[in-house]
Amino acid sequence: MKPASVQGEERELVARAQQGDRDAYGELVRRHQDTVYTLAVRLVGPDLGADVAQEALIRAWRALPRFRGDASFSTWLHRITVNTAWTQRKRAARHVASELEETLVDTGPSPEHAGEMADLRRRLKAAIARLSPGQRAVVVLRDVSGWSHAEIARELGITQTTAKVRLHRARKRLQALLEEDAS
Amino acid sequence: MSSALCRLNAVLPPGARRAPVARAHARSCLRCQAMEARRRGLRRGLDALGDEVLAAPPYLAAAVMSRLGDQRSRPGRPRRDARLARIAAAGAGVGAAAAAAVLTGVALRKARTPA
Repeated sequence: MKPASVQGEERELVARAQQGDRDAYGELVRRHQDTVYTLAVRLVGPDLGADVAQEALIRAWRALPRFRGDASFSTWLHRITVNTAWTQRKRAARHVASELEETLVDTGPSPEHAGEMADLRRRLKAAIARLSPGQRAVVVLRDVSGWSHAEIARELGITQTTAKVRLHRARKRLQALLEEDAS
Repeated sequence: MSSALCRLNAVLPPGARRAPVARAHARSCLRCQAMEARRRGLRRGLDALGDEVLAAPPYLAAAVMSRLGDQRSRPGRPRRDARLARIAAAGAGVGAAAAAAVLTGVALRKARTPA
């Protein structure tokens, strides 16, 4: 949760950007580019991740006059990122899993990244990379980014039931892949 | 019976309501407990991934800003839907005028024709 002063500052930047102020938008890009890029990489892999992030940030600029502020700017931006990534899913599907695995690197050693957890995360990233694009999308959005089933369904253009079923299958497959890796 | 309950516990998503018999079985079955532990591990791992943020490539922001140029439609420029609606309205107007002209012609011809 961001402090109120940061939220207020961001609202002001958004308002200025909506009026066409590029400097204000540039500041918003600098603030959100890492999270947009992370989401894009998790959804489509490293080769397309930067392209998707770039395209999403440009789409956001175009759509900014229509941003009403119902959701936070970052939530709105992430929806655009998912949408952009989803339209590229066919291209993403062609990329081999190992490439995704290579770039999902740990950000550095720290107590919580140590030992078993670091190993689990490494194996988990490798397993996520081996999921189909559709399964990967629901797992990343639900289990990593914390979206609701309704949000996932809306953004991916599927029903909530499909989202739930796909998530269930994706988790089972993840579990199987982790066990396969451990044995 | 046990393997059926094991399968049931495996199929049900975490947090789903289970029948008392399935809950009691899960408490005493090592296989179910191991499965539950694996699920918890998966959950923890996924949560941890949520905290990890990758650094965007250094060129990303500059690349975005350089492409903003003509990306946003200029203020006052009519949107596509509005333009289409205007074209449709003009077409309808021309059509109505043509129909009126034809009807007038027919009426005049009838009036000129001797009974």
